Amino acid sequence: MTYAVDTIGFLNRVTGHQLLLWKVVATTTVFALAGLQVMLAARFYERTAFLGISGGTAATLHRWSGRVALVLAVLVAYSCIAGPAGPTSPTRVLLHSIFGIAAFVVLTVKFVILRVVKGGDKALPIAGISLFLVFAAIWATSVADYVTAR
Amino acid sequence: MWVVICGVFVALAVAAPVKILRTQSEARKATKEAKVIPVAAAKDVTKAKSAAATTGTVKMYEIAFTPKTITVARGATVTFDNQDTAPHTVTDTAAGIDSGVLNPGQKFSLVVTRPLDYVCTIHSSMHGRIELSG
Repeated sequence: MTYAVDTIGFLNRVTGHQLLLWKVVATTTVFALAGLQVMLAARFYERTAFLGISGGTAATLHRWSGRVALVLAVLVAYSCIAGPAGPTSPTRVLLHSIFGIAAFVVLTVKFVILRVVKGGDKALPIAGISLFLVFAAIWATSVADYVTAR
Repeated sequence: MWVVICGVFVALAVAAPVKILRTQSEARKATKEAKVIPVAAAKDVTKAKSAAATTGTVKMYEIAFTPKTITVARGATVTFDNQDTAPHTVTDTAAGIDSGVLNPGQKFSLVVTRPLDYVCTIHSSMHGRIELSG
């Protein structure tokens, strides 16, 4: 517990006591990238001619934007778990925690489908869309509150 | 490599509920024991020399300051009592005062010589105001 609080103290200092703002920016970026991921996947699954780019380019962009989103998501999740995580009220906080946990469960499932399950690629669109919806819920239960509180 | 990445995902997915359960357990334990925690040394807001005329208490509970607005006399000592299960801060929006992280059960006191708008920098929805009477 002490270690976690010290970590947050450190992060607060290095962000000039603007840790929450940094988290808001990172969470919004992850949400936007998750939306882009769905659109790029729709392109390389040939469901749309999004932006007129080729399927190969869409796949490459999908991979790299996914990596950026994952790094940001892990950093935000760590700062949440090390810091404010714990309370189950009000309801917004409880829902935010549930969606946060769900995000990493879905990510794990998606990676397992990608790497382990043969022919599992049919389930990837479902996992991808689920992930986007979970990130949308995380954003709505955190950033939306941050914005409306000001 | 992907195994390591999955391991990080699983660790984060498990760490959150573990922390929630631990926090809830600590809160229940703290309520049972009802420990009296000494008030931290009062911090003077603007080096006011006058003694506190009155006192006021603001409770931090369920991610909120209660009451949100408190009115006290100039020079009053206001104590912030974290009765929540989460750490909070009392941070002046106009800069100058910052309690630092107050863990559950900790208190922070200050002598008020001017109206004050404050927030918790950990929880964006937490904000409050101290007004001066008279």
